[in-house]
Parts: sequence; C-alpha cells; structure tokens
Amino acid sequence: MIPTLVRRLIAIVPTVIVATVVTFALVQITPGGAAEAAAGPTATPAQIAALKRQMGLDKPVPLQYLDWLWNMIHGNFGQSVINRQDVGTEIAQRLPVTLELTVLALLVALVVGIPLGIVSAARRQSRLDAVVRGGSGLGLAVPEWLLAMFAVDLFALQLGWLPPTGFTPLSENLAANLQGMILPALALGSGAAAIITRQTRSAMVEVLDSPFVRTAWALGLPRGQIYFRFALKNALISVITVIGLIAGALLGVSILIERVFVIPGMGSMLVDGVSQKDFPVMQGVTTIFVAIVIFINLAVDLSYTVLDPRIRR
Amino acid sequence: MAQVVEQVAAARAVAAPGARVRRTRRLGPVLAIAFIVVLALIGVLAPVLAPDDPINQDLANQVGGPTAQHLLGTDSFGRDVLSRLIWGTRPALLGTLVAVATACVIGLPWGLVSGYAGGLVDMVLMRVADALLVLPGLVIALAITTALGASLTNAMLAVGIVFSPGLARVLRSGVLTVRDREYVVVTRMYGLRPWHRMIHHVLPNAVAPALIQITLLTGIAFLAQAALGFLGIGVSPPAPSWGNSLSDAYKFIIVDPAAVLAPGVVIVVTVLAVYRIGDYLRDRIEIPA
Repeated sequence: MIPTLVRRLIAIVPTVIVATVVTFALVQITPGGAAEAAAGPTATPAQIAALKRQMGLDKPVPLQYLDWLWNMIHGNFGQSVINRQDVGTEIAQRLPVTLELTVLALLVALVVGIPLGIVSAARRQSRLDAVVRGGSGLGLAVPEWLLAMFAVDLFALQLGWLPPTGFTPLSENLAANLQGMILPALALGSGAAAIITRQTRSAMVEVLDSPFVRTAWALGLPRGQIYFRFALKNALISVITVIGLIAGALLGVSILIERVFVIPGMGSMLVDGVSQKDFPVMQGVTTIFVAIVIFINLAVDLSYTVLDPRIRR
Repeated sequence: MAQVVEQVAAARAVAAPGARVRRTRRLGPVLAIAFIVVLALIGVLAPVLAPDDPINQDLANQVGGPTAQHLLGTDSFGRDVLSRLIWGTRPALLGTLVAVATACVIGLPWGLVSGYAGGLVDMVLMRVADALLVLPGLVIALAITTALGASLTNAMLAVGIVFSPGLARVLRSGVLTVRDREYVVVTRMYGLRPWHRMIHHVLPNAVAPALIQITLLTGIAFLAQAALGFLGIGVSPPAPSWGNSLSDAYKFIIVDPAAVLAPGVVIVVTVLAVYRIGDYLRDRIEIPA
C-alpha cells in the first residue's frame, strides 16, 4: 500500500508541473501581460512599469513562475483586478457551494446509474433493457444545462414543486439549501448517470458471461448472491475507472449549471474572471479546479489497489 | 460530459478492434449526413432564408409568442427568434470548424511524431498529453480564452487546444500499429525522407481511429460552442448565436418556452446527427489491429 502511494505520487508530478506551467504561461502569452491588464486601458507606460515592479514582473520568467507557485501553495492567490477582493477569501466562500453541488450530482449519478445498469444487464435484450439504453443515449445527447432550463420551467415554474433559482447557504438553513440543490444536482448528474448506466451494464454483461459466473449458476447458488456478490463486485471496478473522469467533467459542467440556477459557486467567479480579463481570479479558480481533479484521480488510482487484489503488488 | 464518453469510446476503439461488429442500418447515417448538409446550407443561405433582420428590434412586440409574422415568436428585444436561429447557424458551424481544425493542426503532428519517433521523444510528448488530459476541459478552455481574449474564434481555438492531446493519443496508437509493417520498412530501404515516409505511408494507414475521434470531437465542439455562448463568452450581442438566444430566452421561459425549446432542439438534434455519423464510421472503418 505505502509503496503504491509513493509511486502514484511520483506519477502525478508531471501532471502538476504541466498544469501549473500552463496556468502560469497563459498570462505570459497575453498581449501586454498581467500588469497591463491590471493597470487598465487608461494607464501610462510609467504606471505600467511601476506596477510591473510591484507585481514582481520585472524578474526573469522562471523565477516569476517559482514565486507564483510558492504563493499558490500557500493559498495566496492575490487580489481581483476588478474589485480588489482577496481571491483566496472568495474561493473559500464559493468552493463549498460548488463541491456540494458536484458531490450531490455524483451521488445522483451513482444512485440512478448503478441500479439501472444492473437491471439492464440482468434483463438483457428485454423491453426494459431497450428503454434503459434509449434513455441513457438521450441523457448523453441532451446537454445538462439545456435539461436544467427545461427542468426549471417544468418543476419550478409550471408545477411549483421546487424553487426555480436562488441559493441558501448550508449554514443558514439545511432544508432550504437542499431544496434549492435538488434540481441543480439532478440536472448536473443526468449525463453522468447515463455514462454510469452504460458502464455498469457493459461491465455486468461481461462478468455475467464469464466462466466463473456460469459455474456459480451450475452450482445452484441463489440468484441474488450471483448478481451482487460475484458479478457486481467485479463489475464495479470498471465503474470506478470512469468516476475519476466523470468527477472532472462534472466540475466543468457545474459552471454552466451554476449559471442556470444562479448559484454563487466557483463557476460564476471563473466566468466573470474570463470575461473581465481578471487574471488572479482566473488563475486561482483554475488552480483549485485542477488540484481537485488531480486529487480525485489519485484517490481513484489508489482505490483500485484496495479493491482489486490483482493490481496490488 | 460528452468528453468522458469520447475518451472511453476512443480507448475502446483502440483497445478492442472488431469488438463492435453490430451491423448499422443504412438510413440513420444518411439522414444524419443530410441533416448536417441542410444545416450548412441554412448557414450559407441565411440572408435569403431569414424572414426578418436578426438584430432588428420590434420593441412593441417583446417576448411575443408564435404568430404568422414571427413563426417562433420574438425575444426580449422584439427580435424574430426564427431569424436569429437561422443566422446563428453561421457562428455555430464556423466555431465548430475552428475548434476541430485547431485540434487537427496541433493533435495530428503531435501524435504522428510521438508514435513514429518513439523512445524519449514519445515518452515526453505522451507524458505531457496525459497530464493535459487529466485537466477539466471546460475550465482549461476558459482559462486559455482569458489569455487570448474573449471572442468566439479565440474561445473555439481554446476548445481545439484542449482537444488536441486526446487526438494525439489516438493517432499515436494508430501509428504504433503500422510503424513496423513491411510496407513502411520497405520505404526505408528506398531511402525516402522520414517526413515523406510519415506523411505518405504511415499517416494514411494509421488515421482511421483518429477520424472517428474527429467526428466525436465535432459533436463536442458543437456543444461547447453553444455552452460558451450561453455563458456570454463568444459571439457578442446583439449578433445572433444559439447560446446567446438561449441565455436570453431563459429569462422569459415562463412566458415563452418556445424560444428556449427551438434552439435547444436544434442543438440536440445536430449533436445526435454528428454522433450517429461517428457510430457509423466506427462500425465501418476497419481499425488496424
């Protein structure tokens, strides 16, 4: 276990380097660079030069990178160019919101996808299977944010079951918070649910066709034991493989879902940062997103070694 | 989310050639291609087809439902929804084209060189690709867009850049399967230059999985274009784009759901059509084992 952990940690080093270099380099390739963007369109060359010195931008680029990295590691993301607020503080307020939304959506996807996949595989070629497969195909084709808009129209505006938009902080009122999160989580989880359904189905079909399951049937073992204890346990490993990919994709799509439901998460911060050329905000949010995705992939990698003895060395 | 599907599908296409032997019915792909052609024609012929000027504001008639004059109603500025939908085809298709072309220009040489050179070059190039593939695509695309400046072309360039490592990986695995085939070895005996050998002898035989990947990327780029428009990054108002129209119509969805439904349905059907073509290619193109 411990050597595996070390190996995995070494393996993510290139990813971290490439990701941070890319995020850092984006400012370098901007015409005028960060100082000009920060100074605004009316600044004189002298003001820009002063700002450059102040921001440490007159140092050699590799040194700037190390400075920047050092600041990022210490949670010092700088100030927003637009409203002068501390980026780290704002991220600290917004990150829990985005994480709650993403985790709920992932739960939706697992709770919907795994049972549907099992049923679909167990009743292969049946009408139920066809419905599940058709539904998951549709779930893949309809973008989550489009679905979200129709969900708002139907469930919130027409039927009035749930609040259409708006967000209540978790600390303020748990019930109101969850009520406001139901539609966003369902919408965000729809595509992921479709992928997990398909992945579970194809993995289950493969395992159910394998010799050891046939042997289990021949031994006359109970149906439930065959499906859950033998087949599902083996099939879930390939489902976990896609969870890492899905979690990263969910974080990306959450930007759009937050827009539809007017949720004050990381997404709206990033979108504002992009459209206002607010580099510290953009870099801060990107770095946090990248760090989360790298962490999830590491966790998924490590979970294999725990779950699948064949991979353990 | 579609990008996850694409990664899983690409991995499967490369890992298990012949695993999909499902026979495809002919009608589906023909309809899909016909739909895309019609869409392109609508884009080209937008000035002729659109019943109204897409930015002409009829302020007396805001958020109006479907009428004989405005078949799909009017938006919050009293502009004709149908005309905006027709004109929006242009940025949608051009944006997709920019993204896919960028992905090809960067990704194909990347994969070709990596697979053909092998050794240290391959290792470094693929390590970089893997590192980039882990990162969340939309987030990185937005970050790149910040640096380039928020416009449709730049945003779609960014999307293309995000696509390129995945495409490079797929082409590389194709190259690896043909690199040491006899017909390639023979060209070495002829003394052909490495570049000539790569482009004329290796690439054409290795490109099949990459072609399938490119169709999938087209669908994803198409969605990305609409999503970026919805976020307000891309075509700047008042110019028409599907994403803009959606984000505008969404504010009035309770009064006029048709204005959301119309661009929404067009987007979904287009994506389905592109994926259908991709499925068809995957079933038809023989992937070298």
